[in-house]
Amino acid sequence: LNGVLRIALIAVPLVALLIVPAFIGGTQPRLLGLPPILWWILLWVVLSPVCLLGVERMREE
Amino acid sequence: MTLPLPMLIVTIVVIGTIAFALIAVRRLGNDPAQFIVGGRSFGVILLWVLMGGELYTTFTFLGIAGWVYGRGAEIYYVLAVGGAAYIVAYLYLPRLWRFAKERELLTFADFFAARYGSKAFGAVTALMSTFTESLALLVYLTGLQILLGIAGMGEIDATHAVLIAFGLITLFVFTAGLRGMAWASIVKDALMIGAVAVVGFVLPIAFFGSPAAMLAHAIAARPHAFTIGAWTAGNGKLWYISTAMLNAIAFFAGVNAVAATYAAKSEETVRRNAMLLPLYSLMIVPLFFAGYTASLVLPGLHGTQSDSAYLRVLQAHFPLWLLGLICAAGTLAGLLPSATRLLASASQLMKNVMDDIFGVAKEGAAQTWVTRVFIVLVASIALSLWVFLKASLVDLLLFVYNGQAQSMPGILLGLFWKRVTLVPIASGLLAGEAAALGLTMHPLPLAGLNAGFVALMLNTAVVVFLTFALRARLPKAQMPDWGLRKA
Repeated sequence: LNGVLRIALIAVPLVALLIVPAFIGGTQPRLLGLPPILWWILLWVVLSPVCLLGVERMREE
Repeated sequence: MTLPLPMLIVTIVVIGTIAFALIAVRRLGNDPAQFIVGGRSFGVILLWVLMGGELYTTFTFLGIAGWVYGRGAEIYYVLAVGGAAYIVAYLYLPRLWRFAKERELLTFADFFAARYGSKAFGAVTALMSTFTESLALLVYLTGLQILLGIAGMGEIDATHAVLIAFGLITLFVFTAGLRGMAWASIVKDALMIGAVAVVGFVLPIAFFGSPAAMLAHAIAARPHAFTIGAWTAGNGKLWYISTAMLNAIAFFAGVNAVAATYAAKSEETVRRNAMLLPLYSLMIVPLFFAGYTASLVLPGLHGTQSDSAYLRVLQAHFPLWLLGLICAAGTLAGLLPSATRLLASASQLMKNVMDDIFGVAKEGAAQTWVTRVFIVLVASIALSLWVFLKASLVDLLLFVYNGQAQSMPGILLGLFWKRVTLVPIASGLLAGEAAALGLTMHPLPLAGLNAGFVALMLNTAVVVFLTFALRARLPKAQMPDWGLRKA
């Protein structure tokens, strides 16, 4: 289970950043005035260090 | 002759930064490992500013805002890569560092020579990567010309300004080596953060009240520019996905990025650095804002003029000292990555060509001095080339990125797949570079895929196919052990 979680913590942000944005269209809903594609990418850029921190913690155990 | 105020500020900042770094480094000595990879002693902060400083260049400073100004949402790949590339880096850079540390590697080409057991292959990769890095230098020089042209207010010959600035930075890296670059990057980063905050927040606030209000205007004016186009269209969905993947994989493919990795003091530092670097890429967001603001305030610019659109807005509506500080930040962002590229290229001409092939400069101070000679040589060649062929840099840039990316199978497969050997890797590299060059000169539609990505896939396919095909003839007992420990 630990291994699966580690792979997920790496794969999910990669998919969220490299593939998903191609399918986010339109100009609503906005967050802090940002269009959807921009806040989605920004969100995952901030989340990716958090995911790596999780991987790092599990590696140490 | 009196300098216009912005140019005066750029001059003071560049000279001040160099002076600060020289004082911080003090006596460097002539040990090649100190000069080329900082004695493998950099902690998280020095490594963070060095890597961040190398990876965010005049393209970030001008090109991103220019793209936003004139085109659509596909440029958001730059920000996405700023998150994803470091996840990829987290997976392989610690292993690369360990491989290099155990063998005391100094250069990018050292990795290929050591991993594939061939000094000749090391020399070939050294020459090829030095060639693409020199082309990259041409692109930075053109970026500098745009910046210094604006800072000179049309009163100074920008070509001369570029020659002087580049001459200074060449002398600086000649003296201070990689450690000097890292210290100078601290100043550069502080200035960049300030500059980016000004152009990304002060500009929209001045004209529209807030960045959100500015974005509302931009969205109303060009709603289609916030969605990525159809599947196989030029710059469509497939283009976004393939470009983002290519850049995430090849983000650290440059010779200077590999040298920066070697400079870390431990594997732990490399890992922690990869976790912190995404924060550096948040600086890209204000540059999007600057581009949108410029497209609303000063519409109608084309080509390279759109790259400097927001600087022109600053020039017309804000105090000149502010323009000076921002141009200074951009100038450092162009000069420092150029200098680390010069150093990394020169060090592999010394190590992998002169030492490994001709037996010149075997050790110690001689290696450092030969590297210094090559720094001056490569800088002079790049400058002369640039003065004579400034035109059509867009194609050049495409080839540089696509060509650099072709070394990644050699690094990634080399680190994670014991069975891969010289012949498959060299054949893949050749196929990849040929495809990258061919597709740059004769673009094909490729269903909207990025040409560099297609070349990288071809490269990888050749490596995998030949590895399996040749293994049938190579008894397992003869497989060399590369000493790659499990992570």
